[in-house]
Amino acid sequence: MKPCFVNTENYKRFLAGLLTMRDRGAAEACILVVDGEPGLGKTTIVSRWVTQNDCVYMRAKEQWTAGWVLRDLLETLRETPEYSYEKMFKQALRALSARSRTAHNEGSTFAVVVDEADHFCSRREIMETLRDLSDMLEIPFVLVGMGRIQKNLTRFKQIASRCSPPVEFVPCPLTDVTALVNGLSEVPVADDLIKFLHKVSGGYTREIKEGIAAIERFGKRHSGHQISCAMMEGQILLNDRKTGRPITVRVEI
Amino acid sequence: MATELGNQTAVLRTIGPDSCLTIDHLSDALPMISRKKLVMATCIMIETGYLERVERGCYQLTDMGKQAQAEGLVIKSGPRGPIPRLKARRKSMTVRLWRSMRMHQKFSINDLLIDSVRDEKTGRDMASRYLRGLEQAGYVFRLQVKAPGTSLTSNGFVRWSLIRDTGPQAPVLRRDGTVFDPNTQEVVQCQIG
Repeated sequence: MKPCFVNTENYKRFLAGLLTMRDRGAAEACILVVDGEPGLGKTTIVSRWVTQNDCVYMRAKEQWTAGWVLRDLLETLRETPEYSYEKMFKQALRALSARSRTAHNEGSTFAVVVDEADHFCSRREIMETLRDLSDMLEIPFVLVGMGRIQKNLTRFKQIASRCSPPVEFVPCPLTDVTALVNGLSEVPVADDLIKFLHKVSGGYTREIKEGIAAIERFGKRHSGHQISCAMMEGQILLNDRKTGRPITVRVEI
Repeated sequence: MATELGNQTAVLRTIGPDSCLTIDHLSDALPMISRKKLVMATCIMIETGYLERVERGCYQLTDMGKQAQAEGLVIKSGPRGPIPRLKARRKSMTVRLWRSMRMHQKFSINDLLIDSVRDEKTGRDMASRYLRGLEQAGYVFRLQVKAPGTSLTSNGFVRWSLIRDTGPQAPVLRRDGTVFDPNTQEVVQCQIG
């Protein structure tokens, strides 16, 4: 499989969400929620965007507390955390403002991205800490989760009101599956097999990549041919997400 | 006075050396300056160190302010000191590779390429050379377990662990066989020239 990044509709939706947040009317509304089920390519897309833009990336932990968040943030920013919450908060403000200024001077985007935000989105103290940081510096905070953030944010109206319209990751349409297959596969794949892959994968990027790997393994044994459903009939394409059972290729009449 | 010398100078000369005035008092003493402009002037004077807010709505001169008042200083707009020069950071592929390494902590070369490559044709070569250099300089460690390969006879992809994360700036692989770390200003030897 080729190690390259493919622009999908979800990526375009994510970029559009960031643009909406940048052009927001209220300056303090700088929290962006990125939600979607596991396997839709959220982490891949966010990881690519963070690398290209030099943003701060943190991965939330199950037992995170407000102090732990600040310590993690300071460690990511290469600062030695002080001992009290107040001092760490001030340190974080200084370090984030310096990074933001540097990014502004370089003409790049700066944001703090927190992955696996479902772990803490129901905890008031953490949400308030992030809100305070984002309010004071007006730095975008991107919270990436697996579908629970939006629901939990309804408890905190003062935070929910600061969120830009959420970016919802959805299963890939056929055009995206075609783009992914053409971009990643090292062997040519026929349209009927792409359609079959789209159908059985449910549009989940993780399953699509699993399918591409299976097609490639088969295709390399039959080099020089475009791989179609008829050629791969009876071969295992991927495992079903719900049942865990293997899905084999079959020709649909 | 206010229009000739500026609002900040007017405030400086109105507040006595030991008195503490509110915006209302200042507004009464300086009727020619609007309340909004007075608030702005006090904010800037606090920032520049001439004034301090003892408590809510109570403004007092600092030692610097008292000295300025005694000297009859006229506060003028303009830079408040030298502006530090910011060195532009590189935007090369190695910078993106380093960012990706810091984010993943454990990674294969493919993980880095997915994140970093824009339109570089020799991305894989650049990445593997950079990784080899960092390995010899002690920044990354080759893990025992490989990531599974996609080809039939593939031995898999080497996985790496970032064991020396020194900061946001990417270490530079130099032609003379050394690695320069701009975060620590350190030069480390490695054999890749």
